[in-house]
Amino acid sequence: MRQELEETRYIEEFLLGILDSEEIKAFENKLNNDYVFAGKVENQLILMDRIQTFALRKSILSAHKRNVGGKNFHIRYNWIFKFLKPIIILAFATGGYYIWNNSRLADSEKYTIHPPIKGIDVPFQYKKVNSSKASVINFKSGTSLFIPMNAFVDADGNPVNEIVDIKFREFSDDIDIYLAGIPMNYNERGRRYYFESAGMSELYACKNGKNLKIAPGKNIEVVQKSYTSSIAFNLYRFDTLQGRWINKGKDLPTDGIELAIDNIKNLNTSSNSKLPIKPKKAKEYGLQLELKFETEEFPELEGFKGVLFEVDEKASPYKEGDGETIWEDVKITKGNKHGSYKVTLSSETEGKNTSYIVYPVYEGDDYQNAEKLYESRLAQYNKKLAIKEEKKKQRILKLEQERRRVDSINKAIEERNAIRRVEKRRIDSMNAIIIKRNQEIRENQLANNLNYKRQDVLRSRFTKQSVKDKLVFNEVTKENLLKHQDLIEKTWNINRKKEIAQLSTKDKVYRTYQISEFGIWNTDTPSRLPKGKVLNAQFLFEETGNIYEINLIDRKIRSVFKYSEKNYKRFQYNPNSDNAIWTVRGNQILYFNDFDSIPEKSLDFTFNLKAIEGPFETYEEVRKLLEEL
Amino acid sequence: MSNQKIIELIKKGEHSLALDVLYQNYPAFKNSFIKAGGKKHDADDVFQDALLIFIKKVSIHDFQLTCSINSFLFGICKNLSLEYFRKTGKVSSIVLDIDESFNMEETEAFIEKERKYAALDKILKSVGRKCMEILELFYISGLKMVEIAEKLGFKSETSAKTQKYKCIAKARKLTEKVMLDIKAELA
Repeated sequence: MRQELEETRYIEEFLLGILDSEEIKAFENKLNNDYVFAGKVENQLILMDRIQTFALRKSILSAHKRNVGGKNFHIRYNWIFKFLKPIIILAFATGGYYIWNNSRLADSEKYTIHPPIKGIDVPFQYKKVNSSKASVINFKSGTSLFIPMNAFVDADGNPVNEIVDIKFREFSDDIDIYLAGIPMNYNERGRRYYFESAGMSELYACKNGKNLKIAPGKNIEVVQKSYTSSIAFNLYRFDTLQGRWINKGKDLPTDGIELAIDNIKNLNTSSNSKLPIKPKKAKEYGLQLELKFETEEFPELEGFKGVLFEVDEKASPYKEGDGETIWEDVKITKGNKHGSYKVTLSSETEGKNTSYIVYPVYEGDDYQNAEKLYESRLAQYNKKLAIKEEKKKQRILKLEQERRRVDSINKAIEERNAIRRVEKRRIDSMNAIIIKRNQEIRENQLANNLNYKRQDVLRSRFTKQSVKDKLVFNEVTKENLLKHQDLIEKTWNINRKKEIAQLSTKDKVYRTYQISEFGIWNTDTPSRLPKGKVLNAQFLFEETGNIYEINLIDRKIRSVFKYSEKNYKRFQYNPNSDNAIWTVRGNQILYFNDFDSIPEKSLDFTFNLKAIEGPFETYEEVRKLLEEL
Repeated sequence: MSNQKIIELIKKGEHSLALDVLYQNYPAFKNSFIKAGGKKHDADDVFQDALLIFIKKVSIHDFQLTCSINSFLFGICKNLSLEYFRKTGKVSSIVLDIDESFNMEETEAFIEKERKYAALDKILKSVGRKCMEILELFYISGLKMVEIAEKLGFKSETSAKTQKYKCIAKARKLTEKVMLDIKAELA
């Protein structure tokens, strides 16, 4: 029965699309090779379809009552069926056994990238690189791409060693994620999760308008600025064909490498339980016990002959009378020290027990043989230990190398950003001086023009003096400018150092991930719906009445939670976060941001949405509007 | 509401609003059905069956609408009505506004399969009320197993999960028997 239930669970997880790619492969393999199992899968699939049909009938009956007569009731549909349906219908359409291949399953739970406002999307940035050389592309945001040489191939797999166009965009926050229409849902083990993003980007390369691929074995490294150094984030790639996020392992925040190094360093490679016990020679007048034991329980004593257990009289002195007692039961357990054992003797008849700390000892030839065996086992143990230590060392070296590399990248980026900021201020100051100077010249020219007639009249008398004055003016200006420039240079150098030193921890966090395919990559942690408050909510807008779909934006965790009408009864949000509600209707953005107005103890709430009138022309315009909400 | 919007709502699983719009076609169908000799309460059943077929057909991921929504719905209604008249021994023809582009043959095949599989619905009744409650709460209402455990008075989430799998396994076994007959009919 247990096995059957496990099998039922396994099939359900496959049908609901919550197995990972490895598990799906294993499942499909079983499906293709096990006819009986395939039949069970088909029947369970059909069963799910009938449950759905059953619910659909209820829904139709309810609609009938609403529209033709009778009581009004409403059946809520579960999201699971949204992606179950297509599988079921496909099953019916083909009527065969082997119909659940990976792509069809993916179709059934497909999410698409759909920007909510027509014509508005997060713009791409375009760069060119020479693919025959390794390149670093730096973006204004602080993000860098590290592209190895010969990193691209065409659709047929031929290397492309020419100038290549790079198309890149980042989704830096909840606004970008919303405007790009990136699905933030992730299904795992039958549950819907929502992504909290620590960094997301989309990258492509093309040559003469044709998309390229990343060459096999090559990876492009993305070093992206992030707001968190948490290591609880995984790396996901959005598979547009399957319409879902695929888990690609871990990304590496700098702090994460540090943690991994610490963990490995703390890992104890030596194992006392496997360290052979050095044989001891039995004392001539020692108190020794001859005990039978199972070598399975004490493998370290296996192969040793003539083992006696000698009482450690310092740790456990002999107790008077123990020698005369007839002991009915003996138990041996390992002692606290390596090579020590605890022997517990008990006599039910006499109602007493006693225990001694003992060590294995040997007499005569047994001792000689035990020593030989010990030496050989110790050599084996040391050999294994050395291999383990070497592996540990290599892992640490590799991680430290990675840390140094990421550190140097981060440092270079930090320095570059600091220089860029200081440089910008320097240019601004220079521009201000130039503007001021130009203004002075213009004012001078104006004064000259106004006095033109007068000057003309007096020209003959003052020509010599005028030229002299002009020369003096120019000299003074030049001197002042040089003084300013010197001051600016000094300030620039001081500020540059300060900027680098004062970068906050937040600014210093970069996440590094390597990508082997083009597309959308995301460092995320799946989370459930926000907790804190649950409302039976209603969303209204004055002109249109009910709103059928809204997005809850949790700005603290940069996440977008999509709610459709059927979920309004359990509208969850975190009152301690920075929340907003956005939705798009035609040319309007409807919003609500006054979460403080929701009474603390209220269980029901009507969100009266406000509107920003469109049409909207550019991404920058919409972004600014949403930032100000 | 546009045809496209209705299809979108159905594909999203938001049937309630779509059904309300589709029900606007009910008076026209009912009149034609009664004119053709059908009974009023049978018109209700036929229309509801047509809606069921309609939604399931539209829900197919690569469904392409080749005619108007109303034509498509009326096409299904006509097919089911003719079947009804055949069963009740009436030779009758129902007049409904259907585009020429409506693919009757493809729809007939779909209806035929759906009708055969409907024989499985009795299985759901035979698994027991408690089982249906669990399955409905999980698959339709979308409750978490811990909530289902609390709602239906299970000791723990694990007990509720075990019960759910027992119910599915039981229903699946019953399905296996019925499916043998269905496949024989469809072959």
